[in-house]
Amino acid sequence: MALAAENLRADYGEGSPVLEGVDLALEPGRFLALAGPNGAGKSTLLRCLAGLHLPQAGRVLLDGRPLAAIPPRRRARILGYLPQEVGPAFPFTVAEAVALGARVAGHGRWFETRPGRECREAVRRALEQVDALDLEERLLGELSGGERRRVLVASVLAQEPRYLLLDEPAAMLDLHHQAWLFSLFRRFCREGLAVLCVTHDLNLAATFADEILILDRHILRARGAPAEVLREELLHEVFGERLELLPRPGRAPAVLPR
Amino acid sequence: MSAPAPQTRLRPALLLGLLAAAGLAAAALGLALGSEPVRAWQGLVEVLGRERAQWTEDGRILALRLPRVALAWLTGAALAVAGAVLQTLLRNGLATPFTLGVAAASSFGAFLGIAFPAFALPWLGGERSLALGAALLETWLVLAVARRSARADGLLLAGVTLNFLFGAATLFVRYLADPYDLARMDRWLLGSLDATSLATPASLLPWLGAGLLLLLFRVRDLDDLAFDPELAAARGVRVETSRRLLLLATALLTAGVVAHAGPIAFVGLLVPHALRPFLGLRHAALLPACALLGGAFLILADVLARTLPALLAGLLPEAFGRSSELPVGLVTALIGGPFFLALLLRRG
Repeated sequence: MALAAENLRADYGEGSPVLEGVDLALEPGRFLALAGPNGAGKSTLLRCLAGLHLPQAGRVLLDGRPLAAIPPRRRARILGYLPQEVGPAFPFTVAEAVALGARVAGHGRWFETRPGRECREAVRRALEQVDALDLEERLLGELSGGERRRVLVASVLAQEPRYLLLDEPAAMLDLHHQAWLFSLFRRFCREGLAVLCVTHDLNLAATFADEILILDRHILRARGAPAEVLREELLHEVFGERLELLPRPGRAPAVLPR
Repeated sequence: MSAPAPQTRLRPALLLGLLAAAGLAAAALGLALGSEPVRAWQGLVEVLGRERAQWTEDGRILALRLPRVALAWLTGAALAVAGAVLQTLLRNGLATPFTLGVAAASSFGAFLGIAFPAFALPWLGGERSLALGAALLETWLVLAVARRSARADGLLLAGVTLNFLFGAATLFVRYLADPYDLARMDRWLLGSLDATSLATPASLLPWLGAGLLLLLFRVRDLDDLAFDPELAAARGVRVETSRRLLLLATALLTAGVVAHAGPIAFVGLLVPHALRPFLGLRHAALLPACALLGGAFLILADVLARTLPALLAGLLPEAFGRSSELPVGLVTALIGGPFFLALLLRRG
């Protein structure tokens, strides 16, 4: 039982690879944070794992089966994916946005002019999980960036997936909600979910994730427990010299700008 | 800071009921009003219940109005639904059923038939069959080009380009045509709901039925596509397949009615806009509502088109003495334009 990538190579048809020889496995109960410089290939890796980008070589396996062989609707009930940017073309209310996710989980019949009670309850449960129940009737476009992001996370949670693939879910969140969201993911993992989350905040990753993966120039440079990965020479090599590590007894070091 | 007012959507069942009632009321008006006074109920009973030979004057007038009202309802409904689907599909509230060139191709076909009757295959229904054929050919070209294009906006670009190409071809046919044909072409562009028997609206049913059937199977995909195509794909929508089938559905809905009624403006733009704030983007509710409102709207526009000239002739006999009715496309544009501006200003 895992979502696994084997020797993944991906490009967008222009020759130069975006991912090269990436191996990783995401097992139930694990919380992995994926970090790396801009353009390293993080989002493409997530899209490959979500079945949205077909790798040019290698394969993605979901519970031992090739991901590409699983019908998209069934895949969506197992994998929940949140892209970096989501842009509704028309005004959606928060409840309507989350209901789109709840429908994937089977809450609702094929042809319904409005969400049934089961769907509305699923929407409430998901919103409650991200502390956004009070936003239910608001328009998505009226919300602040952070509120919007939380609602989008709720819409993916409403799919009731076993694996969560989230591209910068904490972007635009205030400090409180960043820590709060990551501790929520931690709790999901205790309940048996698997979470793979792209983030630029290594301290957040170190505090809550089981492992940190560093993707740099299309290859997976490091993977391991936060204390193993957050080494000065590695981070300097990947992110440049303008950061330093502040040792903390008994915990992974803090990463600070210099 | 005060919290913005929560968004209020209406119960779809309530709104659909109201719109259906409005449609019936519009149909009743459409049958009762026109250039001739008539006992509409009496006429309707005769047309539906008696042999043609037993019809009175009322029956004969109703026998002319009934197909017209039916054609107006079907045309308005089809254009409004096609508009709503294309606005979602292209993620653009300014899209109309004609944005991707179906109407331009249809006009080209019709004009070809008008200018060169030899092309028009009279046994197939004359210029209307050419209009229909050209519209379906254009849709096939859009789909074929979009399929070979790697661009995400390939569909829109292919449609807009073919719209221009068929527009140019139309101008070329007009350039070759004689003045009498030019006048007929201009009339065609303004739209008309002339129907001499119920066979005309009935002939649209296969096209509309096929389009609606496609929509029925893809109606859920539309909700997801309106929200975000990438998320839709992650949620199991086969985005490209869905887009192609939905475009085909709008083409079937549009091509049939435009071949008969001409490119009637604004219904497909206006109706989805008027309904979306109350229903949101749940297309299982939005599309039936668009059909009901679009149908009612076009019946009423046609009533105006038939009754206004008589009223205006009293005021300006020199200008309106000759014509018995206005082109319905002119009426929809005259009502639709200001109404749309009002909608924009109210929300802005």
